[in-house]
Amino acid sequence: MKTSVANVAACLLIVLTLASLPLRAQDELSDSAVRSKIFALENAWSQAAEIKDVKAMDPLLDSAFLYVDFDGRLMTKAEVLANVKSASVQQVVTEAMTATLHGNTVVVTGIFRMKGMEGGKPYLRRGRFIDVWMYQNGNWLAISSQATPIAR
Amino acid sequence: MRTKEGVEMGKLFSVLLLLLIAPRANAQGVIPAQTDESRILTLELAWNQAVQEKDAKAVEILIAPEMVYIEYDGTVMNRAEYLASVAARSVHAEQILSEAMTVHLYGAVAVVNGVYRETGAKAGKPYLHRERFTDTWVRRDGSWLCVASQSTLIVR
Repeated sequence: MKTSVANVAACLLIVLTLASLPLRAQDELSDSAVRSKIFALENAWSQAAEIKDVKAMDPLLDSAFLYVDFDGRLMTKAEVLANVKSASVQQVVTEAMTATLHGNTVVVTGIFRMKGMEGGKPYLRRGRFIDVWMYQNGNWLAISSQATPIAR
Repeated sequence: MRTKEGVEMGKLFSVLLLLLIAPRANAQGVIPAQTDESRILTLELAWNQAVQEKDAKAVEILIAPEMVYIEYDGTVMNRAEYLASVAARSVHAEQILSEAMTVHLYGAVAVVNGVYRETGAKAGKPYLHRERFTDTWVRRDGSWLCVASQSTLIVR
């Protein structure tokens, strides 16, 4: 009887262990997939800014989206989209991005490099950003973004 | 920026903060329910106060272990680095004021935008900083914790 109970317990343990493996792998894959998706959206956002594609940028931003520009200006979604059209940005590159998941919300930190022309003069800006993304109704939307120049 | 020095007030402030962030009972109206928005604004003010007093323990209660902080000069810090910077400030801030704060609630996530106005002295010289910040808070086990904070100098 003892042997039988021990065998059942051992089998149960093996089944539970095996059952948990794919789940764990799936969880990791899921987080990894989310990160890949978010990084792809970040790149799409940079690309849209670079080519002044307001229609491509619009669906990435939540209606209540707020942005703090590198000079401290606070902008709504409408202001950001209007600014994209008139911006003198020629190239936007993001690097060293990391994504931290908090349930249906992802905080992305990274560095951006932006090249452009202003008042007939070329500029190169380098800064750090935090973007916050939220999964809403089947879509990932940016709800917040801020840029800070790197001074050193 | 919230990494300034002030007068040490002891541990009382930390205890009060713990009470502040603890999940509130809302049963039978025994304890008046504070809205998430007003609660978060209160936490923001408590954070300023704690920084001004160099009370890293009080700040620690407010921020998540995975919190990321970006200083107005672009320096990025994790929680441990940020707390160390709070405790070891060489700048003397006389006053830190938050103004024009807005809270956007997204269920268990809140985004706060606002402006810091800070006056003080650095290397014997007075300074005035105005910075715009974004703080992202997440509700976890009934308590709000900041998971991301960033400041940018307002230059115009």
